[in-house]
Amino acid sequence: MATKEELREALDDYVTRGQANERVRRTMKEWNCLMHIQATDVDAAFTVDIKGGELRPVEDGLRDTPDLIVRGSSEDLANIFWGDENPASNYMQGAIQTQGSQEDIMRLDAMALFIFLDK
Amino acid sequence: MGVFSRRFGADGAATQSGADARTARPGERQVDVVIVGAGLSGLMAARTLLVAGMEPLVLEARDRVGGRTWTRPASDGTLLDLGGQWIGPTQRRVLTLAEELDVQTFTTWDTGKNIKYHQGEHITYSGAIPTHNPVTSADAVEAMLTLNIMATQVPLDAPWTAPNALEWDSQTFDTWIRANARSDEARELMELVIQAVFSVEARDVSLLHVLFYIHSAGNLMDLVAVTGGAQERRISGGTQQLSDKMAAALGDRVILNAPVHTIAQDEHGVRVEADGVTVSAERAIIALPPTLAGRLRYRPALSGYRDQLTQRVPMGTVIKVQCLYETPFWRAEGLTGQVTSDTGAVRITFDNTPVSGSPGILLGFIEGEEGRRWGRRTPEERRAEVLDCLARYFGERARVPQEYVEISWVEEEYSRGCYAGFLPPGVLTAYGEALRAPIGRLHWAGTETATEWNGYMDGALQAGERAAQEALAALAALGRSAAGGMAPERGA
Repeated sequence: MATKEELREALDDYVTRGQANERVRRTMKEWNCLMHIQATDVDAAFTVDIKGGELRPVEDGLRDTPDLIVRGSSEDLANIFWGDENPASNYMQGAIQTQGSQEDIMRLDAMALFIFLDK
Repeated sequence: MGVFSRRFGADGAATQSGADARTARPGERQVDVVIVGAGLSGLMAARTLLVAGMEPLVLEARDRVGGRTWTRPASDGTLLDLGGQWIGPTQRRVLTLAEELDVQTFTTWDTGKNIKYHQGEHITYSGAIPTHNPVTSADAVEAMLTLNIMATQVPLDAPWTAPNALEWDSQTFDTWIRANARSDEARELMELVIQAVFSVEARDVSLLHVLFYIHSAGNLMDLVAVTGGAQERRISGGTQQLSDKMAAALGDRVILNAPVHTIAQDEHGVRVEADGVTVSAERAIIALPPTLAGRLRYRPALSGYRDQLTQRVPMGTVIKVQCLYETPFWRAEGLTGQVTSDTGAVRITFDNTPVSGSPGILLGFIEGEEGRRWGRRTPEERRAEVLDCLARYFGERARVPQEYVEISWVEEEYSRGCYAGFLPPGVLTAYGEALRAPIGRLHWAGTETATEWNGYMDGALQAGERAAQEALAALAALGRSAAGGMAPERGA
């Protein structure tokens, strides 16, 4: 189990790597998505806003109506954000639940994999 | 009725015989709807019609039902699926049917590492995408993402109306990956994806058809993945049970060994002539791949537009091979049994062991160009090549199976290829409208006409249901009630 602070640290790091990733910038440049990230086992929830493919800094708490909701245990979320776990692995296929349009989920999947591969 | 009499009345071909197509002659069967083909699509159409109170009859050329699904015992009695075998989590029609028919499913073995064999190098990896080389993996993921996003722009009921339809239908998938995959290895991976999904080469198939196919399945990962994708589950005891059980419920409404050769229609009805039996009906559903539907004789002849469609929908090329061993020895070595390879006849493998865990079965596909090449060699040469491939991937133990079973679907007279019909460039935009459009009393089923999971068992079921609904609507318009009799006059 990860604490809220650990999860926030991992997510900040993830967003920083996403901002620096050329492939993310190239493939996501027209993407707008307000994302809610919620841990299911600890009281931790964050908002990540993606505007024109650019990842904005992480915000504490849930803001506005999201386009995409990502839920998972604090440990699974932290493993993804730290890049410890391949997001395309079979294990991760079942561990993280997403809710949103198919295109948003597809883009999130691809972004996660680009950031993982580039770590 | 006026529409049909105007359209067909002048031809006269069906009425020259002296009887109209609906009136049964002595020895003929007379039903509401006659269905050609007892694959999943035809049987689902019959099932749907029967539930609605209509009287269907299915004519099947083979001595069995199931079409491109076929379950046969190995010499030890293990049931092997020689044809379609997997079910994915979003294939709700086939999952529902399995539940209705009390057919059990189980998850495909997907525990451990996959093998990637590339330029003589043997690499293992976890997950759906080989990640040993981050740059080429990211290239492949980028190509897949781009395709997924393009696919969402292709309307499932009318792909030819996509904003870029003509541009996408004017190129092969090969053209697109050469221009858009950023590395040779990513391009090779995308070629393998097309071989595995369509059993054709990337140069054979239209980009627009690939995008439609991706959208009809959800996305590209849904097509290629085992866990979470189209290969996630199998049926205990084999997929042919679905057809066997549907046929059992239909009883003598399914006639085997009755290849249809002529379909005649006029203003009175339709008459279908098969070896040994003739059936007259109000409507006919042809549940065959388009190319086989095009080999039947129609009276009057079908429009040139429809016939030219059937001239342009070839079937994929695949030889399915299964090797039986005492145990699934690769599992003990931490392997899933799944291989992607750039070498030899067999470039894709899976663990096809039954749910009991014994015998161990490796399944290999010889697809596309390799299928064309090896399909013309002798069985002995093919077997030696397949075992060379398996030994290369899994070690020398794989070279000595206790049994070797193969089927070349191209050689099946009543399939002429698998997994499905595919569309070369230019076909979908020019002839797509003819795929499902009824002609007079004739309706078209088969997985090639599906809008969801086209090419899959699930798509076959959707197509069968849809064709049955079309026939029901036509019968209702004639005043036929759901109970099978004539509807009472209004106010009577």
